[in-house]
Amino acid sequence: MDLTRRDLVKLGVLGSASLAVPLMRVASAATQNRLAESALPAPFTTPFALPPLAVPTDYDDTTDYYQMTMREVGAEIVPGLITPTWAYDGVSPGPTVVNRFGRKTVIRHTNHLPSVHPQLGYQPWTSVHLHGSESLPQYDGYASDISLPGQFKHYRYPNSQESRTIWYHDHGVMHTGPNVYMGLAGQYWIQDELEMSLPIPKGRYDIPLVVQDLMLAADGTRLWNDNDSSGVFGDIIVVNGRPWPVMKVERRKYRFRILNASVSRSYRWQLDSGKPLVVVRTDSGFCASPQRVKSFRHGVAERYEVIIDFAKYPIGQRVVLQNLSNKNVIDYPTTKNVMAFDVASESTSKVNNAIPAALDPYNQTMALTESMATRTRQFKFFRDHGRWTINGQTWDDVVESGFTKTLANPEPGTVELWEIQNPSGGWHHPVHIHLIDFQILSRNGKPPLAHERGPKDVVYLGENETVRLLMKFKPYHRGKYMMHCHNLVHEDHDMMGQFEVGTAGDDPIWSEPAAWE
Amino acid sequence: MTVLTADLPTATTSRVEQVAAIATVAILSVVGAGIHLYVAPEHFEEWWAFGWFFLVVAAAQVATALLVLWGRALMLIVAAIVANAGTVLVWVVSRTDGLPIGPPVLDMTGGLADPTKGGYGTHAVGLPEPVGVLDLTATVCELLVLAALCALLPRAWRRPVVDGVLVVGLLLWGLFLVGVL
Repeated sequence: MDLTRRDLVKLGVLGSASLAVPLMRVASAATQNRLAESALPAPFTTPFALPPLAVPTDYDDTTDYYQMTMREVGAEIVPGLITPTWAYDGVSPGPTVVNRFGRKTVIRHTNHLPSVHPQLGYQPWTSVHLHGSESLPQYDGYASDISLPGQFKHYRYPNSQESRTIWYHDHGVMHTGPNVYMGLAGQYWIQDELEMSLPIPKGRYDIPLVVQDLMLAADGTRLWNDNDSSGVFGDIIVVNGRPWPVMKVERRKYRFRILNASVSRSYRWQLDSGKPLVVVRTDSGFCASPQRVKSFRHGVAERYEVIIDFAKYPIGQRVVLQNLSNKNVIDYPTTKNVMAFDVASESTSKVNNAIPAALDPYNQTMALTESMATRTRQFKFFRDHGRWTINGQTWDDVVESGFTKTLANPEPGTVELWEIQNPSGGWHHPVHIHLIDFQILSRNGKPPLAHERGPKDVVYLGENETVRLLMKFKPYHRGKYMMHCHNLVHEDHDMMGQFEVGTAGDDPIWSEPAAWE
Repeated sequence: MTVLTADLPTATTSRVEQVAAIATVAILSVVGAGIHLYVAPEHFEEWWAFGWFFLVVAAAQVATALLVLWGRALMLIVAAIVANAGTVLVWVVSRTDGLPIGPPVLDMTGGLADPTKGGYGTHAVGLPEPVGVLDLTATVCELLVLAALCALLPRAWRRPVVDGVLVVGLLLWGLFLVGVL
């Protein structure tokens, strides 16, 4: 063409600016002063720590009462750096709440978070979800039932289900991912006679492990990069808030209640020794019998209770819990080794040091059979024009309908079979159904994996997979509850809908809204 | 009335070069139009105004292709240059600072909060969108079309137009360097 070199240079100024400026913004957003790998603590130099136990502020014949305040604290995740962290009662993960079956719990949650998120600039409204509890709709952490900074809400929990490890975390609409990423998560246990009667590790040998990943900037603040709404993947793995900790153990069995509280990252656990992990309990209760596996995958929000027998190792040996990772997860050199166990001494207790052959052969959810189902429903989790949807619907649609639109309307007291499909090979979805427990009937027509043969409330919906779930809506269940992808970036970008059990359930927003202090 | 056209003597632009420029404008405008048409439905879902914007841009790009094939009126070429530059600028702002306008904010909280303070999420105004393959491709097409359109201009017109493009480019770099973009 007849453009002179000078013309081309002039035009090139616009061309270079138009392409380079956005791309440099993308590059800087991805690395944003990311804390250098060399500045991270060496693995297994940080001592392991347990979250504190929550202490009731009051109690009566039927109920224990707690008060928790959500507020910002400075946490020293990496030595020498203070990381602004959102904590329940000053700690992240939050205090472990231990409950007896049948005894009720009331928690007064107060939102004392800052008026805006320090990086993302939103007003941090909250909605506390007790994940795995059959709470009434107004206490279930319905996403749009929010508490603003300065407000509080009493959450009432029945503790009416079989013993289980569940967890509380934020579920505020649009902000669940960043709120949980900032630290709003903690374990909640329900214990019952069955659990207490089993000779499995208890007390100081019964250990909560809250696993999260995060990425820090050089100044210690958390970096949020959701990779075009696909997921947040950090290069630092923390267990109970400590990076790659090391735990001293005795030569005996330990039970670990592993909660994946990451925003998006799934894990695949194995021991570097090659010895098996024994899965005894899934999200919602015990397996019928122990499941010995060399490795198992663990999606976001799932809980697995695993027994590791350190009697198999000599004193002085280090055993590393490793993450082999899964498809479509962004890994870093630092995300393989998660924590270490140093076998330090002989066992000081011989009780509750067994793995019985039968754990809970009569679990109600696992006793359901396909022939009991009165209805089969299909749900397709897919990305549609950049938006994450369930059957093409989003939480926007629910909001725009005045919170009336539902994906399903099961009747109380009925058994249903839900088929959930992920037609994509590019991502997986950890699908969570509120309120109910379910049994995984099949995965792509095959039996469920060994480690997931127990009652569940989250299912790992892998790439190009269809899972079939069997569930019972109890006669007293009523109201609107959410179902969603628990990759919290997908959830916040609307892969969430609701179902309504029966009619005339309590309104999840207006039955008991938050109040100002 | 005399209509100024870019069909100028070969002293200004050789025939081969002119054909190359015309082909560049026609083909890449159609490619850009195709991309904008393809993504228009998802933008309609987001907000009707976004959807119409993409349709109008696609229509303008088709019109540009037709213009260079069958007319090349000078003022229309200049208009096409301005339109392409404008489309590029909208894209740059959307990928850096975020567009200053957007759909009405949906109250996700049933009236419990001020929805404009939602910030992070799918409905926020002023948040940058991610750079994708399609939008980057469309922008490259628009920049090449812009250059080819400049090549079709007679010398007397080209200098001020190219200088104007230079000013816009310098402005972009300046805004970036001072941290506005």
